[in-house]
Amino acid sequence: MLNERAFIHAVSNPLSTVHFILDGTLESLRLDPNSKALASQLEEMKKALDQAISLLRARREELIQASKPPGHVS
Amino acid sequence: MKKETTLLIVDDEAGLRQAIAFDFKKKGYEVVTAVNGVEAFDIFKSRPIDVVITDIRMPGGDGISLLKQLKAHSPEIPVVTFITGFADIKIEEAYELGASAVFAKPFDRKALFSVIEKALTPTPEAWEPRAERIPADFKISLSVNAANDRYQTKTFNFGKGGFFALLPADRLPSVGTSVSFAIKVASAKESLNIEGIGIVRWVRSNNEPGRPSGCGIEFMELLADSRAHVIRVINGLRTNAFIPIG
Repeated sequence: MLNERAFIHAVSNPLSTVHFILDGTLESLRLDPNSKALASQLEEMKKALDQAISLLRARREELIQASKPPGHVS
Repeated sequence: MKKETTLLIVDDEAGLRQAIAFDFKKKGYEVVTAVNGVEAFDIFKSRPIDVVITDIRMPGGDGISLLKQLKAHSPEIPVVTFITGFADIKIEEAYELGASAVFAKPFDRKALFSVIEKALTPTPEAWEPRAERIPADFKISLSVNAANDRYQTKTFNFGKGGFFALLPADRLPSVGTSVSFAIKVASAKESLNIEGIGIVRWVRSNNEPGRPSGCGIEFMELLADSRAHVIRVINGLRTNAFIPIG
């Protein structure tokens, strides 16, 4: 990837959309006793999504740290 | 929340913009949307808006310019920003410009709701202790004697929603840590104590040229006497900073 920062920025947007809508959908489904199975499936989806987001955040942090001057600690 | 509360949501990502608008409408808010900063500022000038939620990086009018325009036009308007964590703007710079909250995408949906509710709660009620106590993981005690400008010193520096605290680089809390703080200001005329609980919003080590090490802390709860002091202090501030950069 020639510009990994641009890629991470670009992928953050659709991931934000999916994460936001999935969280709201799950919130509604948890209140519906007839949707327990579907909610359970979506919980698994959310776990996988959270894992992907964690990986993205870790890589973003690595890139930010790598761009700081030598000896910089934060 | 009063019924006529209006949110302006600004993001070029249509799916996210619509999803946020959908959720806030469901909660009873009036919502208007814009795809960039230029369109957003035109809307802002044309009708009453109570809170602005804006992305930073957008084609055709970025969120940094929008934040500056909004604060120049209406210093009290709460503005919540989304960033992606890279060079557009640092978190501490967004707070310095007056942002009430900064979220890195992808962000937590419930945290966004909670921030908007807090932003709409008038001070000092927003800083009243909650039913569920916030446990403090870190303690900070700061004091100055007879400074000229007592709340904008090198040791601490007040903004409209929090303060910068000068701390040694080897004793910095992490972002998100809840902090119990006590700030003492002593002068010939009076001695004031400001005590409360805050959340660390950003941390800076001592390797940034021209900037001391320290952290930015948002007020979450203040003791009753402290709330009155803080209101008096922030009413006299000449800055729009929510948390000063230090």
